[in-house]
Amino acid sequence: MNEETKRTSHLKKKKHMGVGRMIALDILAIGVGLLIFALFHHVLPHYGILNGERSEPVVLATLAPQPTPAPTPAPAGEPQETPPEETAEPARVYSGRWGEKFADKFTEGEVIQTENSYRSGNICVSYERVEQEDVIYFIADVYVSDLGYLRSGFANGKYNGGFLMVDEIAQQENAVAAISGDHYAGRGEGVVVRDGVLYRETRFGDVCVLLSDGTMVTLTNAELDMDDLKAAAPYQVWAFGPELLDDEGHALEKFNTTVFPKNPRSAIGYYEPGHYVFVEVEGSRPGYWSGSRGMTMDELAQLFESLGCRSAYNLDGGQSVGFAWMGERVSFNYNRSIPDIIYVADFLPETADTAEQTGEG
Amino acid sequence: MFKKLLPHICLDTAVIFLVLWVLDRFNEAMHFLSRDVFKIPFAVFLVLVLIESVILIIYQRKE
Repeated sequence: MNEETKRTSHLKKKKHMGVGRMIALDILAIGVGLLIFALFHHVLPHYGILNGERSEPVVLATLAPQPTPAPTPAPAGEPQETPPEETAEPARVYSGRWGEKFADKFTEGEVIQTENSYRSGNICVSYERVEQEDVIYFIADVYVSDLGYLRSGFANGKYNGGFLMVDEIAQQENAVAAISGDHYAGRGEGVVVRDGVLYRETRFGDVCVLLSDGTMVTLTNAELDMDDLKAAAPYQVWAFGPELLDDEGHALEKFNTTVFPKNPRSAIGYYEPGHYVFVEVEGSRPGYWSGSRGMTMDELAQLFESLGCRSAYNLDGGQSVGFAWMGERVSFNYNRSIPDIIYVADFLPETADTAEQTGEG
Repeated sequence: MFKKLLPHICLDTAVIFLVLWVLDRFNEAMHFLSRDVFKIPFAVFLVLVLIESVILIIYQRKE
């Protein structure tokens, strides 16, 4: 072997690494690639990075304190003479903007509570556990005298505050009734407006918008215009979906989702301003038998149609679902903690105005 | 260097996307394939495969 052949052979050896080493490096690169994907798909969005989080949350809507309606005045013209012997009953004072509308649902101030119902001057909530052939679900009928009694709650009381069980967040918020929310922290996308504050504005599938006037509408991604949404002063926007009913309140036949099979479900429905419904469907997964097989999306939509809702929206399902009553979980426990709930409470949140008033008082 | 690395980049990226596709079949609710974090690298992958294909065709025609 002459000198030149030796040099060429040496160079050739340097040019080509061994097959085993090459495969090992490729596998390593694949592993690194998957880790980078997980970082951008899961980790960074969870901490509010690279997912359309607003550096400063923006207040889109504030619920003005609703004046208590004055008693109906007597017709003008003829002076009303009250017989001196009769004592006029004091006019009933209604709480909030819908207190008079749903007067038969609310009490005059006292709290009447049973095992599965709660009535006060502000809210009226009752739930029912329905057991059918192969499905179990909870329906909570919710009347509120003001939108401020229907709220969203974050784990540990703050956006991106971590994960807790549904009953733990319900206790933290002193909720009367609570269901699991849209699991906003499990994704880096999806509009997040909670109690009037905009936290995130990246789009993700269908959205459910609860406006400050109490109406609730569902929109497809194509129908959603962010500028219009912000201008409408939404009180809550949830992003999971899909929407379940059409504009006439009939169950949709096609859904913007890939999760069709029988599954545990959590959903919210709307009848009219001040009247809503929570639905939690028990379901089973490998290793978890709750006694219920869950519902398909069609079945869930048909349930809301049968309830007479005008709009309805599917929230995060699977093992995230949960329903809590008076801070206690009453639904099956899948042992999964969640970042948010939707709940009803019998007191209004303390706003800057009320805090100031309290301080002055 | 780029010509040598390109097939490996395409190969590794293809395997990554196949893994994500399988994961997505098991848990569609995680939306592995429908977000920008997948779509943008996938578009880059398509461009790289295009370049690699052109290089390979040129190489074969030269042989």
